[in-house]
Amino acid sequence: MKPYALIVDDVEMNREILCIMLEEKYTVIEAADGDEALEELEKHADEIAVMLLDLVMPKRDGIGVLTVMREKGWCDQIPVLIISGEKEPELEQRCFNLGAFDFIHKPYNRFLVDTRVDHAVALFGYKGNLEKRVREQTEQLRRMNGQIIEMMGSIVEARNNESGTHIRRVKGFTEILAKEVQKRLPKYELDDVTIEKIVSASSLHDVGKIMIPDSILLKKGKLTPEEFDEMKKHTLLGRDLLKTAPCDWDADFIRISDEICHYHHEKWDGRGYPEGLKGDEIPISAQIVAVADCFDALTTRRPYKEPFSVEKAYHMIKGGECGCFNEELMELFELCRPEFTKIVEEKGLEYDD
Amino acid sequence: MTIKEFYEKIGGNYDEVMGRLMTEARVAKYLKRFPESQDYTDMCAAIDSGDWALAFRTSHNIKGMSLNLALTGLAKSSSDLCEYFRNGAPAGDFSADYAACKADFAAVSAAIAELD
Repeated sequence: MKPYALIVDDVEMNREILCIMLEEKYTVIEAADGDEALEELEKHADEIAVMLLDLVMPKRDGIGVLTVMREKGWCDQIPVLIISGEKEPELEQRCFNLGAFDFIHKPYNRFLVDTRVDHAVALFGYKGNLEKRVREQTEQLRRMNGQIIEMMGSIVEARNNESGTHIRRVKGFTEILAKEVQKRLPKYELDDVTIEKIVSASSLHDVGKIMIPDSILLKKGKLTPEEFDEMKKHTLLGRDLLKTAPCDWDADFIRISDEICHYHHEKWDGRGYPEGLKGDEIPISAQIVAVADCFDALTTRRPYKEPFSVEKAYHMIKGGECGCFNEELMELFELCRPEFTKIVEEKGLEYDD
Repeated sequence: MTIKEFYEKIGGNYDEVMGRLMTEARVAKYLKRFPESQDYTDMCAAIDSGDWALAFRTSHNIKGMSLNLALTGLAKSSSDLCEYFRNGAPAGDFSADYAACKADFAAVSAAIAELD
């Protein structure tokens, strides 16, 4: 199928002459003035490979068309070749400043029109492909980055005999709950990009445990008060570890990871640790991961306990047996029950062995 | 009169127009439309009524068509006339250039009438 070429000129003869030059390689669309040109662009912008644009026209002139095209971003998509008898350098410069790709002076030279149109189409095609490849590679790098972060979290969890499924489940619960917060609690201003960062950073919530001695981390029985004080330090240790994070990491991601590591054991009534923050002093990222982490801990097997059922876990958390959580968040936690249950029951993720 | 003879008579450029339009049939087709050009009628009316924006656009179109059809004389005289109206009310006395443009248009139209 031939690519589309849009020819814009108020003089019919001029359009016909250009048609003759281009019709072998292009399907030609014609417009007799600037307004008609914009109508054709609205309909066919994704299909038009090149546009030949006269300057002096009734209603909207060529400069007017270029101005609109620049506002709509069409100049980045469609090479515009100005075809004009005008010769003032200032006018040419103005057209280029507005995003024109080339300027061909009338009278038309068949060879020049043909060659320069082909070059414009080929260059834009190459540019488009390059942009697509960059987007694909950026997406691939983003996914790899997420996987590496998840792996880091899993390595830490493996030390206290928890498998990588814990991290994946916490991420899953975090994502579900964060999306409910986005939908129903707009005061927290969670957008899609921030949610993605919270989910990824949730992998690192217990990274500080890497610094806790085996004698405490792997102890089978109940911890003494002194041992528990040591264990609580994993929040601050995790925060300190993140300060050595690669400086290529997004600053916002580092901030969110810091919040989660540092505050995921704080409680709504101020009786959590390490800082005793109260209410919304606790960043929402940490509040969400706290619920996710707690729910996962209750519904999976540990060396010291069997998994509780979803119903019991819900009962314990909402009943305050695991500390005090944000009431609004608890309502959303209830709404998430079907999706949380699905994760719990998902094959291969139900137990930490 | 053949196309080639036409271009010799009016001082245009036969080789240039053939390079652009490729066939004499096409050249003849566009030449024969030329005398009925609405732009010429509109240009004269615009100048008579002082509509300088229209005078600019129409004289500019005549210049463009003349260039494409390699009608060298008319291309020059319409280009000279067009410049008077570029910024609105004419800068200076354009009557001589207007007369030249009208004369060139008349000569081209008369020669076109003699085409085979």
